Amino acid sequence: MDKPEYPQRVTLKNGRTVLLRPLESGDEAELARFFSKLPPDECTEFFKDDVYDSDVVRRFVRQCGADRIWAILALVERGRVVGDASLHMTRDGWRRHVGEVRVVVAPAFQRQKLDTMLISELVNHASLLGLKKLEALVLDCQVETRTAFEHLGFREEARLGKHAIDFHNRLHDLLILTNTVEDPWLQMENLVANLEFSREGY
Amino acid sequence: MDLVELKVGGFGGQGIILAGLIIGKAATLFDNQHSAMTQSFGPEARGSACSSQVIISKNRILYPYVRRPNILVVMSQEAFTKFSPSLVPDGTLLYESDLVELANLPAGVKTAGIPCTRIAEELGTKIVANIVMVGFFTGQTGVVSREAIRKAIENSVPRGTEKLNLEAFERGYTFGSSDAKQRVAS
Repeated sequence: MDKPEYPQRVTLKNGRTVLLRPLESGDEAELARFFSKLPPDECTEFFKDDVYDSDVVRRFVRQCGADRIWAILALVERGRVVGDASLHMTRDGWRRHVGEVRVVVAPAFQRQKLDTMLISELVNHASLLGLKKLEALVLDCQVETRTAFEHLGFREEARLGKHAIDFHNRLHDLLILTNTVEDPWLQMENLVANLEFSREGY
Repeated sequence: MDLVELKVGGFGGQGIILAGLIIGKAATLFDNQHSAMTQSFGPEARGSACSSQVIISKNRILYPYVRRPNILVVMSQEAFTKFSPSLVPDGTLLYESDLVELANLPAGVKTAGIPCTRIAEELGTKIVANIVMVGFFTGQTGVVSREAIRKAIENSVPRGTEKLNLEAFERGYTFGSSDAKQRVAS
């Protein structure tokens, strides 16, 4: 497995370029600014943590230094953060092979495949760390987020009915999407096999 | 050469179709040429004969099937036996030198071999033997540019495998281009 080199410059669907790099100590202020600009809606209100609190953000950045969280940022000019994705791991116990994926993209950069690119980086990193399975928790109302995950092979494995409640006291189903982290060389073998042994259409 | 008819043959699991796909993609997407690829399989799946045929042309392609290849790449004895009679008299045969023994070739056919599976194993995995062969093909023939093939490889292989695949390509390319110079000099 090749270790990717950062920063990476990627081009979005609208032609705009964005820089991807792992989160570093010193990103606290910019990350807090990014979260503070997110409009309160049905998406942000379901964050596990209160990201509008700069102390919470500072703590998050500190935790990223340990091996339990790995995060990657999407930045534009003047180092402005427009997307954040993180991989959360227990690294021990019976869930040590599992990583949880979280992603958030600024509204102006949504529908540009940036979420897919960020998730893809997390999947790549999970593979490097030897994780075997990834999970993502989304609500039934988060259709775009779910689609981004599904494009990368995540599938609904469980649905907890009316398991979440929003600020307006509306109940939502919680979906647990999962994906196995396949060794890239196994993917290469599968690619060869799929090309050579798929008889559909022949 | 304005029009190249290329056939790549081997057995299932060697990455024959992927090799053809990468060469065709390189020509079309990154070298400003036209290409068309078709593929065929033997009666059984894994281990049986399979081939990909690629037409590469500076002009529009009016007929997409390879009739008589002017370049034949073979990675198994069975593919050599089956496909070599169709090679044009002054054609080029590139072959996996550890797996293919040449016999009964028409006079005038240019040949060059490379132990691509062994080279791939030296790199750590024989799954890239096809990419070594793609490098050898590029170095020997120059039908598609080195840069175009590199981009096509990056564009075609799974994420995380690009570096080793490109290394495999370069090993084949170096082997092919130095061998080509020797042949010209001799």
